[in-house]
Amino acid sequence: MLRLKSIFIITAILITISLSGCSEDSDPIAPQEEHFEPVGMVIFDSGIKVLDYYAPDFPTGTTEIGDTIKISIGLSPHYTLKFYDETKTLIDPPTDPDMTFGAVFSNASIAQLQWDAGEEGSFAFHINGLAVGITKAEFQILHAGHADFRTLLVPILVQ
Amino acid sequence: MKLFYSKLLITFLLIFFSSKIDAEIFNGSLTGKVIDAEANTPIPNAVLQFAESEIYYTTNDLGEFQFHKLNEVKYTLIVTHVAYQEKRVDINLSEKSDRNIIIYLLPKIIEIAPVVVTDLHSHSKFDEYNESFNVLKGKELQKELGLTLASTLKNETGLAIRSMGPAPARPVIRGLGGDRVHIAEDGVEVTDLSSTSPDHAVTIEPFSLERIEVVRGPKVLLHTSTTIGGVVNAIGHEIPQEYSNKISGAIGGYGETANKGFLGSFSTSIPINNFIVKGEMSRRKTDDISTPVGTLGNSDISNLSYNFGTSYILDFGFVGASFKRYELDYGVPGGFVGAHPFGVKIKMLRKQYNIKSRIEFDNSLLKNIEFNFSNVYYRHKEFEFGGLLGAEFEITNYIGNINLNHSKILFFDSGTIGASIEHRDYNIGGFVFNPPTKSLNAAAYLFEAVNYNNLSIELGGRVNFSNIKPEYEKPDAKIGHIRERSFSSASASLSVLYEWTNIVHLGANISRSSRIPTIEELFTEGPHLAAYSYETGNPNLGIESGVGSEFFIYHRWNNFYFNVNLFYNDLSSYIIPRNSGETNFQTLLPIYTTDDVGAKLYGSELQIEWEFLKNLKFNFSSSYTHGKIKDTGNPLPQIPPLKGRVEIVYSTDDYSFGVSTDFADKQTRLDEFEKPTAGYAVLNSFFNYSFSTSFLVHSVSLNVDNIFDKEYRNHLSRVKIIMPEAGRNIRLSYKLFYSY
Repeated sequence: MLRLKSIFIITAILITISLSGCSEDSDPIAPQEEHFEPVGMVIFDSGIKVLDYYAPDFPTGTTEIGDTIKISIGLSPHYTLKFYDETKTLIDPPTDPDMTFGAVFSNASIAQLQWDAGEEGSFAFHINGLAVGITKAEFQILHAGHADFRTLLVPILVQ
Repeated sequence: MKLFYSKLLITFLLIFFSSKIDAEIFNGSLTGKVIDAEANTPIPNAVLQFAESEIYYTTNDLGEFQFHKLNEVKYTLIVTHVAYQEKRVDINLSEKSDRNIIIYLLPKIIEIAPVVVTDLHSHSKFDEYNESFNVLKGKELQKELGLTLASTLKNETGLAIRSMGPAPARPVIRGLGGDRVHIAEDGVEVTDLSSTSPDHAVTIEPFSLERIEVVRGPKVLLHTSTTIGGVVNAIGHEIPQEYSNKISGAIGGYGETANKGFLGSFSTSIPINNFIVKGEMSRRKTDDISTPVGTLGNSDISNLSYNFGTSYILDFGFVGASFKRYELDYGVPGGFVGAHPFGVKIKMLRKQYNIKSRIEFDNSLLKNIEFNFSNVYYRHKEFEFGGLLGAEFEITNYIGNINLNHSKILFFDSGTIGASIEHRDYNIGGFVFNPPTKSLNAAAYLFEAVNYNNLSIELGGRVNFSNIKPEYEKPDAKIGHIRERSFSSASASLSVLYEWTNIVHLGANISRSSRIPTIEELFTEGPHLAAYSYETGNPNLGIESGVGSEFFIYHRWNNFYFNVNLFYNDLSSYIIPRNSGETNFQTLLPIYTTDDVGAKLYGSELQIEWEFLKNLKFNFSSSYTHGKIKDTGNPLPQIPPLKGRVEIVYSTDDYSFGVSTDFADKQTRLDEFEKPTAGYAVLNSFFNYSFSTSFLVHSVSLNVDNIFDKEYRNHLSRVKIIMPEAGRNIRLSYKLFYSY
């Protein structure tokens, strides 16, 4: 009986230690937040559509849209954005300051995004043509380190 | 590159300098050592006797023996030990190589103890069968060692690998994957997310394992209610269970060329009074894997694992505890439709405290009580290229179980009655939509074994209760009403083994299987960036259930073994994620929906071992699974094709050498949106050498895989579209076992 008691006591001590030992990591888990869920995007130049992208129009497996944004070397006009919801209704860009606009270019030496001073990451921007050629951009809405929305590849021709 | 080759060179030098060249002249003496063929440890108290005389000797604590003043040149030496199979060795002392020998003994199967899944020596006809065909251990384990648990098991009959790059790989049994294959470490369920998604790795380092068991039949119910799959139990004995008065352990190294990978490992076990203290550490690092058509980008791995354990051992049992930390960083390749062009990085951590105790009783009824408790913290983060956090998952898990192992009761020869409980706190962050969820699982189970003349019977039952509670209800979720769910299930299994003659056994199994849907299957709704999929669950799912059956013939006669197995699983409900063919327009990821379908999986397995000449053995194994959806007759997704291995092995006590061909048929039976895979045959070779110096045993294994650098693809690989499997690969592993 004594041996049983001693085993139980040791086991109880070990359980207590282990219960307090495997606590949560000091690095808290990233919170889940509301996500902006558009399914398309329109780029405007003074009210004129430069790009009209609505994802459901493209069959599965498509990687690139057919239209090309054409700009000259140097800064493009000041572009603004609207997005499509699932009913293809245009909606305004998100106002949450954690949500920013960005793009990944296949060749960043040909073109890059550029913002007016103090508006970095906003939904009004320029494309800066750096060299003559064609590059492809994936436009994104970035949110807390990840992309809430991304477009198919959009060809950009710098003339 | 230079660093890699210098590591290989150091390994070779270590082997070279630790060996001892015997140059003595024959003086009528014979010396040697007796070693466990599986564990590579010395065997004390083995009895050696010459068949031609009454001279005998008992090995010392280091397994060593020596005979002097021998007059004859030729002898037959008989080696016996109560726990090992008898061995006869022909010795010709005119040959210098015969004057200092190593004798390997195979553990004997003894019918004494009750059924304990993780015990080293097995005890019933069923265990004998499983030990022959479903256990990887000793030299065979070293020969098959791969990057992961799954790649180590890939040539076991009936097993295949589901993968998404080299690190995230998981075994699939008879076409069944996910948590239908229950992975355990020293008998305790491994807490990670490898069963939920193809991009998640199994958090086990195979190099330091002592053995790996694939458990099927009623014994599965000691671990899980899903009888149609199986249990893969990786045994490393982190908590020592047996007392030894010697300091023992192993030092090991591993290198391979296909990914310029290396591993270093160390373990030691030290007795202090009635305590045994054990520690292990291993470090692995690999670069991107090279294939015959290029390098698979973002497939590198970095892993650090260590654990400490101690036990207080007395004649009435033991109580012990251990701590383990496992860190794994790896890449998930990208570059295909839906995938990030540069792939995703995953950073994983598992911390675990274990407590284990066994109390033996003199009571004729109750043999012993076993108790396990584990507290696990698991976390992994998925990063997009550039370090952007995509998603993170965190689990805090408490697992406990108690088993009462009994001796003969009524007509049952042995058995186990037990209960288990698990509380899981599952938290999710980042760009995911799953609600944080808590779950509680409680189970009671029974396993019994009966031997009656030529008939052995095993039977088991398990009842489960599960409660899965999301942090918040979501009545308007797109996938349905996300809410608290409770499930109760019952499973049962019966196996019969009939010894038709002393060389032919017939066996059958029938089981009722049930599986409670996972949290992900119920509540997932959102992108899974590293899996390159947009996953949607179904909160209305019921229990997956069905009936499994199998029949086998097992023939074991001197130098010829074979095993034929036919199985048929009929599932009224089978939960699977399927590519819907649609795309999520925010993320451009393909949408995978969780479907519940009726399914049939049937097939066959064949294993042959034939020693057709002395020391020369022919091995063959193959497995085939046919899976279809009952309603439509369409193929189930992710079913492996006919696959197998043909092998010729020359082996002596000291070394073995062989060539093998791994083959697979093409897979054209496909679910909608699944891609076909071509058949292949790949040639491999291996060499294994073991030798001993004083209290050390060295074991070296050299493998050359895919000798002709052939391009081939695994049907269950998610990255098969962009790259084939690894090209020519030279693997060298070295283990030094010490016992002092």
